[in-house]
Amino acid sequence: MNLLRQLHLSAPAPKKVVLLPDHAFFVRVAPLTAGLPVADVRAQVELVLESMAPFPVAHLCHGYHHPPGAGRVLIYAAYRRRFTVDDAAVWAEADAVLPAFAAWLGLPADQPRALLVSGADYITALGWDGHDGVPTVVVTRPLAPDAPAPERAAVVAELKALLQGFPPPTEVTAATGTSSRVGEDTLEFAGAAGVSRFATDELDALDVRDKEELAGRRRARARDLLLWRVFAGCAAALVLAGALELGLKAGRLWLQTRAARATAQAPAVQDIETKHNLANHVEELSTRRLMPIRMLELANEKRPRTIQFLRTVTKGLYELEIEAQTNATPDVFNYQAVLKDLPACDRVELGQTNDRGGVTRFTLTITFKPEALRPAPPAS
Amino acid sequence: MKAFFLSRLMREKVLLTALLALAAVTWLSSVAHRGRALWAEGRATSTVLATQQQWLDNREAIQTAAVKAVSRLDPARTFSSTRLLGELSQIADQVGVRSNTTSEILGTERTNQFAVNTVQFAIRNADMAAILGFCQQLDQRSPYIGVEQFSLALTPGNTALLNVTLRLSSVEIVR
Repeated sequence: MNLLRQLHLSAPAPKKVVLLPDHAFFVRVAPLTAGLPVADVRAQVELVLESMAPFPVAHLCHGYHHPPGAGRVLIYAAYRRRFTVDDAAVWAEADAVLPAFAAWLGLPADQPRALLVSGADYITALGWDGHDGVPTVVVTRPLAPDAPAPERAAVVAELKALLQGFPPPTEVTAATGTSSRVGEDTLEFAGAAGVSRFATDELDALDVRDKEELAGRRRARARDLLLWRVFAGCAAALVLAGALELGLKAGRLWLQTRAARATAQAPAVQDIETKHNLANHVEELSTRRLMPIRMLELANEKRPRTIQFLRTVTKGLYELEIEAQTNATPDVFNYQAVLKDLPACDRVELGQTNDRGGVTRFTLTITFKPEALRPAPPAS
Repeated sequence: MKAFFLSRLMREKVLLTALLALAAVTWLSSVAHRGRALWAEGRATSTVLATQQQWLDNREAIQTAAVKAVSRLDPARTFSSTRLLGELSQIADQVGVRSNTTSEILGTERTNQFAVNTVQFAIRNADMAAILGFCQQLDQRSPYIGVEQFSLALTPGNTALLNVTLRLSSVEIVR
């Protein structure tokens, strides 16, 4: 019952996303080595961080944004100790942990655009030049949560000044969560600026958690995906089995119809078969009669005097089986040879032979040629 | 469905997958087994129907052949099984072996036009001349009486005498 309760079929829960304050991060745009394979971007990002940051990379929460084909990368990092143990506990449950501004890095950026993201205690300016999806300007200004409106307006004005050369910025509130649900392949953030969408692989790069932990999550995802595929395959097999079951039922009905037809016409067919067999029988009586005496005469003509027939049986119209005995064994083979030479004989086979007390008992099967046993014309 | 599945705990995913796999394997193997049986049954039925159709297609030809075969016979000279036994006894009487005979009616195959009766007739302790005479008489009644099987053996203890067993059939025109 407990398990059944756990398996309740409610709608899947929304994905859990932790959005960290932007002012906790320092952000840089770094050029990439030309022709760098995508798989090596992470290593290059870590090299850049090692050269820039005063802490080892292991002490940093970092992530990066690198749209496919871009010649540069947006890197952000924060000192790990800026976040508490409680924060880390919440992160473990989350599907993604990002700085708040990163939620908007998935916006379409094929043209220049600018964004002002307002959080509770910061405002961040983002500017895209429209070349490769990597923002060229990412500037954050912290604010007191209870900062008066004029102070907030002054910060906005300052950031707008930084975004000169970009189209007028769209002002959005920092995202607090996502509408995407567990099981979906993408993560989306919607707002006044549009929909920012990330694929799973992109999220792995954006996520600021420990990279080993993320690798573990990737493995878990791969395992889940494998299980899901097996599950889906089994479900498909069940659907197939259901379809085949229906097919079997239809086939059974069709077969029953055919069997009923066969049963219905069986008496008529039996009647025809009987007529056919009897007509053949009558025909055989007239034209192909069994002639046992003639067979015996033919077999007896060349019989050596030492051989005595004990029993003869006809088999079919043209075959005669002779059981005989002799006290001169070589005569058995001589007799077989002589019979073989008879024009009336088609085949002569020597069967079981045994010798007891100087008497050899043997079986000969003679097959006569039909023309040798042709009966006289039937009596009229 | 995918979201529901992925949102489950690991043990639930494994359990669900295992249950579904078990159900799929069980059902599919059952369907496959019954499918094979149905296929074999279907082929057998098809063979029966095809054979039946061949007979039905040849109905006219067989009917004609039967009429033709019967037309050569004189209905008055055909033998029912009882008449056949009577005739065989009479022949045995003529060749002098009446007291040494046994007979048995084996069966009758019948259509609405004619019938073929089969009997077994045995003569014990007869000499060769009597047997030859008996067979000669049978030959004269051909094709109304035909020999289907002939077995001849020495009488144990007396090699001058013979035992003969015949399976004979006769045609009977149904009038």
